[in-house]
Amino acid sequence: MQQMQRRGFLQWLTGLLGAAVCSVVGLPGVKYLLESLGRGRRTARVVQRVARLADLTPGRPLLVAVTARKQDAWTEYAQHVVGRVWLVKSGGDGGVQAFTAVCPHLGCTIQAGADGKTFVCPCHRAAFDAQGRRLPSSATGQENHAPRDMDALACRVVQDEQTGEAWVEVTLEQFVPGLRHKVARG
Amino acid sequence: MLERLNRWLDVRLGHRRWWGAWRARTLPASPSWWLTSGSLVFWLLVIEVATGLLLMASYSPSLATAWPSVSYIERTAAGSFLRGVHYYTAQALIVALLVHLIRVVACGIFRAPRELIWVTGLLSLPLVLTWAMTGNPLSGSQQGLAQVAVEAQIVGSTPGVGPTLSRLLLGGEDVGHLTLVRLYFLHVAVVPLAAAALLALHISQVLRHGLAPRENNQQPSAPVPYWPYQSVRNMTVLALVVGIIALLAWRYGAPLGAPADPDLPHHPRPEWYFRALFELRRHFTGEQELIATLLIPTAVLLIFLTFPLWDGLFGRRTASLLRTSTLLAGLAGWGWLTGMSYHRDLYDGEYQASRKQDRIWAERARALAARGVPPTGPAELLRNDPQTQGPLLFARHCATCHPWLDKHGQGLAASEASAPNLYGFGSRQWIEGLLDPERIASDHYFGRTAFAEGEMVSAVQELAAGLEGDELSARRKQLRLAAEALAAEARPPEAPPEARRAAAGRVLIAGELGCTGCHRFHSEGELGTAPDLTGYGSRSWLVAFISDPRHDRFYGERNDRMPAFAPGPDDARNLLSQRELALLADWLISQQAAPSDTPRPTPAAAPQLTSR
Repeated sequence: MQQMQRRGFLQWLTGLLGAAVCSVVGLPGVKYLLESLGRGRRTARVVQRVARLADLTPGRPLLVAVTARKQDAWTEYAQHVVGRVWLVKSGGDGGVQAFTAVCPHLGCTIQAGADGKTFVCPCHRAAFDAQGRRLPSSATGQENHAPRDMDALACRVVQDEQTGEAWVEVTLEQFVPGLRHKVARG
Repeated sequence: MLERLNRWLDVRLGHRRWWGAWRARTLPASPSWWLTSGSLVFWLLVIEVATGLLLMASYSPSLATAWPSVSYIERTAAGSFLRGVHYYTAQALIVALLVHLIRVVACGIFRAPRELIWVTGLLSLPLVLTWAMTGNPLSGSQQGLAQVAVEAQIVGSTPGVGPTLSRLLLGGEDVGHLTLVRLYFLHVAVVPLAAAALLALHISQVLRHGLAPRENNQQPSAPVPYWPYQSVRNMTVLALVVGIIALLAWRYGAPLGAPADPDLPHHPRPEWYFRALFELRRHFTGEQELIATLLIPTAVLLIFLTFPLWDGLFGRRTASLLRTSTLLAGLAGWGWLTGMSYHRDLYDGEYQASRKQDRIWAERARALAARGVPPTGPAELLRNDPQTQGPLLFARHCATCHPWLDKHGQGLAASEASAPNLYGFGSRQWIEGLLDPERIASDHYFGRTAFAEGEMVSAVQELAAGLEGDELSARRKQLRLAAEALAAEARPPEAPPEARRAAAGRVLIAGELGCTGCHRFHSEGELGTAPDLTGYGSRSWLVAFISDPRHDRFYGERNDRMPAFAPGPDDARNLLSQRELALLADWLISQQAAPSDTPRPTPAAAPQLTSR
C-alpha cells in the first residue's frame, strides 16, 4: 500500500518536473511568436505630391509610386515605395481622381486595361471602368470578383511655393480587401 | 468516448503495446543518479531543437541580414531569453555528453553485444561539436565570422580534398552571403539529420540490449521498474540543469558581438570547447600544424573507438585499467591545454583591451541597430558612427602629434606628443586654458610647437603682464568671457546666463582684448594673419581646418607641421576622405559637450590603438 503511494507520488513528481521544464521553453516561445504581431506595422497614412498636373493626359490613367520611410523588421529604408496610385484626369473639368492600385478583391496591383483607359486586375481579371467602377460581367464576358469599386484616395491640386507649378497631392491609405464596403486599415 | 477513440487508434497504431513495453522496462540494479546522464543528453537535444525551431521563425542567414535579425530577436525579452537558452543548452549538452561518455567508460558498458552503443555514442561527440561550430557564426558577429574564416583555413589545409571542402563550406573563396547560408544549411538540416540517425541507432540499441548490468553486481532479488523510479531521477537532474540554463539565459543572455567588419581590429578566439585545440596548434607551426588540427584529434577518436577491442587484446583487468588511465590522461591533457590558453589570454594586455573594446562596439552597434539597420548591411552601423570611427581616425592620423587625454591621463596618448592636447577641443574649458597666460605656453597647448615663440602666446601673456590684484582678476574674467564667446561659435548656448556672457565676450574679442587685430571674427578683422575665429570649433570650421591648415583662412604660411589632410577635392589623393573628415569632426564636436566627464566609450581604445 505504502509502495503504491510512493509510486504514485513519484509519477506525479516526474510529471510536475517535466511540465516545469516544458514551460521554460514553451511560455517564452509562445510570447516570442506572439510578439511579432505587434512589430513592424505598415505606414498608416502618407500625404505626398506624386505628379505634376501637366504630366497628366485626360483619359490616360497614370500609375505613380508613393514613397516613405519604411521599417521592414530590422531594416530601415529612408525611401521605400509604400504604395502605388492611379491618377485619372477627367477630360471635362480637368479635375483629378486618385485610386489606390491595390485591388479590393485580394490585394493584387491593378493595371491598365488593353485600351489604356480602363483598369483590370491581373489576378482574377476584375475589370473597372475609367472612373474605377466595377464593370458588370456582361461587359467583359467574365465574372467580376471585385467586391466593390476601386478605392478612391483623397487628392488635391496644390501650387508649389517656389516654382508655382501645379502638383497632385495624394493621401495614401490602406483599406481592408474582400469587404463590400471601403474600410480603412487600422 | 475517449476510451473508444483510444481503442480505435490502438487497433491501427498499436501504441498501447509500445507504452506498455516502455512502462515494463526494468533496471539492472537499483535506480541511480549515474544513470541520468543519457536521458539528460536526450532532453537537452530536444530543448536545442525546440528553441532552434523558434529562432528560425525570425532568423535570416546572409551577411546583410544575419546580425540584424539576431539583434532583432535580442530586442524582446522572450527572444533574448530563448536565444540564451539555445546558447547555454548547447554548452550544457557538450558537458552532459562528456559526462555520459565518462560514465560509460567507468561502467564498461561497451562490451559485447553493446559495441554499437559505444560507437554511436562516441561519434555523436564530434557531431555535436560540429553542430555548435556551425551555429556560432550564424549571428554574423565579428567573433563568429572570424572563427569560421579560421576554421575554413584549417579545413582547407587538409591535404587533397581540403581546398574543395573549404570552398564548399564558404560558398566561394571568402566569407560571404553563401557562407552563412551554408552554415545554416549544415546547422539546421544536415547535422540534425545525421544526429537523428545516430541517436535512433543508439537508442534502439539501448532498448534492444537493455541497460548493462553493473560490473561485479548481483542481480537484485526483484527487478525495479524504470518508470517512475529512474524517471524521477532523470527529470530531477534535467530540471536542475534547465534551471541553471534558464538563470544564465535570463541574467546574461547569449553574447552578441559587433557585426563583422574587417576594418575593426579584432582578436578572434574559439569557443571554450575548442580552446585545447587552439592551444595545441600554438606548439605546431607550418606544415606541422596538420598534426594538431587533424592527426591528434583523429588519433584520439580512433583510440577511444577501439575501447571494446581492448578486452581481447590485453585481458579484461589490464584493459579496464588502461581505459581508465587513457580517459584520465585525455581529460587531463584537454584540461591543461584549455587552462593554458585562458591563462595566456588573462595576462595578455592587448587581448584584454581588445575584448573590452569589442564589448563597447557591440553595445554601440546594438544601440544603433535599435533605430534600424541600413539595407546595405549592419557593418555600416559602426562605419558611419562618429563615436566609433572618431577615435580610430584620431589614433591613425592625429595621435602621432596630438594627445587626446583627460585630466586623469585617460584617452589616446600621442606617440610623439608635439602638439596641443585636443581633449575637449572647442569647449569653454579648453579655450579658457588656451587664453590663460600661464597655460598657453604649456605642453598642453602651444608648448611643443613653433607657436610657443609666436605672437599668440606673447599676446595672451602681455594681456596679463604687469597686472596685479583686482586688475588681474578683472582681466582673467574678460578672458573667460572671451572663451565663453568662442565656445558659443560651435555650440550656441541654450541658457540665458551663458548667452549673456557670450555676448559680452564677443564685444571684448573685437574690442578691449584686441583679438581681431590678427584674427577675423565675423565682420571684424582680416584673414591671412591668424586663424579665422568665426564658427571656431564648429563642424564646418573643423572640416575646413583639418582639410588644409595652410589655407589663408587659418595658419597660412605660418602653419607649423600639421599636414593638410584633404587639400584637394579628389578623395583618392587626400589623406582623409570627406566622409572620414565628417566622422572625425562630428566626434570631436560630440566631445565638447561634457569635456569634464570621463570620456566614453573611447578610453578603452587607447592601449590597443597606441600600441599599433
